[in-house]
Amino acid sequence: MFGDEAAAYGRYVMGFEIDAAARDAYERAARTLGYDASDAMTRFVQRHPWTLPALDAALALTRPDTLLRKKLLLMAAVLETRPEYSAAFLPRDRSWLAATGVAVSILRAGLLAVFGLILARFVR
Amino acid sequence: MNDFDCIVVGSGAAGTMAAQTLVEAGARVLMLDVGRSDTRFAGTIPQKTFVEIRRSEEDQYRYFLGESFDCAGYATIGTGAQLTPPRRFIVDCVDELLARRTGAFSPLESLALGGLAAGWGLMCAVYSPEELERASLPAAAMRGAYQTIGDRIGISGSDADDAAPYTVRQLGGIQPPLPIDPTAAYLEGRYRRRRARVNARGYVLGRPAMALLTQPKADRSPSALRDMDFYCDDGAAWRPAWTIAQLQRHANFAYAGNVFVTHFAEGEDVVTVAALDVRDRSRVQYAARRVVLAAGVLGSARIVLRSLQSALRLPLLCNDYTYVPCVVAPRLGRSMPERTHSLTQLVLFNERAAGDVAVGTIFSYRSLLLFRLLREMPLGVRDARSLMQYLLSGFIVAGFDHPQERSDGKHLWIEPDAASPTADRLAIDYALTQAERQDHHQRETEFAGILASIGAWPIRRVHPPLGSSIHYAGTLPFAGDERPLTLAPNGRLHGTRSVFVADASGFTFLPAKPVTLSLMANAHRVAGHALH
Repeated sequence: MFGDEAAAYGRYVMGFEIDAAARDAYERAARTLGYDASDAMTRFVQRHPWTLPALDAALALTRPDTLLRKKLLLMAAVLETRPEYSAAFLPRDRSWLAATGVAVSILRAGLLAVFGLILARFVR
Repeated sequence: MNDFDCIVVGSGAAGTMAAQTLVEAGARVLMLDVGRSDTRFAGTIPQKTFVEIRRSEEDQYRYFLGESFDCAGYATIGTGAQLTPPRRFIVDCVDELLARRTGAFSPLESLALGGLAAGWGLMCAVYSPEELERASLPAAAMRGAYQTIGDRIGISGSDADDAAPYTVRQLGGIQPPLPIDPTAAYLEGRYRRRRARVNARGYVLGRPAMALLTQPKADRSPSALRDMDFYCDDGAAWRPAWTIAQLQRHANFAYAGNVFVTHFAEGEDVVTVAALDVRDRSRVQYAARRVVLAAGVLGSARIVLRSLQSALRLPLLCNDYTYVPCVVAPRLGRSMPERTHSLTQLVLFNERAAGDVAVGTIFSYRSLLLFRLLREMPLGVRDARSLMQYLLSGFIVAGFDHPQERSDGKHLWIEPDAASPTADRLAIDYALTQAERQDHHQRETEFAGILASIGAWPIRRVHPPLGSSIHYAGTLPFAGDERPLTLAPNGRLHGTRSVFVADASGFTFLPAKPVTLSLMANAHRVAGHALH
């Protein structure tokens, strides 16, 4: 169950499957910090992983200190300190076209947040 | 029991400089200190750049997040939040031994070897004659003391740019300044082009003076620019532990660790210092002809109030601090050089009147981990990561310190606390006046405008809790007459013959400039008086 959670969060943060060592590291970290509990929101995303981007976007705006956000930020911290994934967290040269891509992704994040806000009303 | 001429209490910036002055003059010196040190990380962090470590080291989580990921949690902005796992030893034992009730004031104290200076940001600044006068520090004596301290610790900086009159002033022997990163270089270039306009608004910008070597000095090497300054030192940075190691080569110096000093009692020709051995909480005593207190402003206040059994309230000064994350648009989406440093890149000074100088410091963010920024962003984690990867090269954090003079509503005292090892606790009541809040708000607005004019666009203004600047002073102010709980101009505690206070307790005004160099210079001066 906990392994499934780590895999889902890792996949969401990176956009691809993360390895077993990263999942193990996340589990150890979550236990240390007492994030191994669950609540309605984390159980909901376990059942419906496709809702994770929208709910995360909505919570970032409205309730940034919820357990789900804490778990996702912990996954980001764990991945950031693993050499396999660190490049995704370091600055790199990008063309001016990248700025357009960033603007599009912010717009997409806004739409996701609106969808997430609607979705959050159905989380039990 | 009576083998020592002088006991120095505390091993921080003031304590080590006082001890060095005494030892070099031939006095037999005993330094008493709890002296927690880093036993987990020392020697385990590879001698690589931050980026090399990030790309190659499997175990990097140990020093970036903590061995059991204990620094990876969701924490709010607060005092000490900047302490990385390898620097956490600085606050070891503090909660156990230093009981306190401080309300909205959030101080940082240390019982580490080197005290708070073990994690000091290394920025140095010489107070102007006006600032010295307002702080009740003698200008002529301090001028010589600054040079002595500069020669001891090694300072790099620019003695030719616009900020030099506020940083190194007339100090000699300054090493060349540290290189700055491309984002700071861009801001410096913009400042040069708009210099007249910025100067007309009372601001100057330049390179900071740092207690960090850029050339070899004694057995220390220049900075290797590994960008790991928040995690470890490579010998280029001055730390009190380096001076203590030097002093331990002298036969007339002794260091006693695990000693938590609680109070002193002055006898006929000897001062007895009472302490707890922190290993078993047993009571121990030491004696000497003189005592120099350098336990930090809050620590020295505790010892003095306890020793004199005083329930009186002491004044307290602390710089109000704000920071402003900014974006430098032309630097977005650019890579950063691997060889750089994480410390202050540039410094801004705003002189409204002689002796009334506020200080802005500009840092690049890169060598702190990104996940701390992600939680501040109103975006999902994945989008925030992707966005910050683009923004990070153009992201800076500008801090702003306000000068602080004595005013109402800023006091500390001790009160009974049966649960504490000393049966008391420090209580602090500290609030800015309405006039101070308005003045600071106005000044911060101007500061944000200046940042924008040189190309750093403020995103938001963050007010960490009062006490976050970690600059404290003024609890036992210098006074010409023999009033209780004040210091004579030579640092002697009024009402005693042989107890001196060498930290910033005596300052009657706290300039916004970084205080550490000045408290070291004052400690050297006070130790000189304690000798006689």
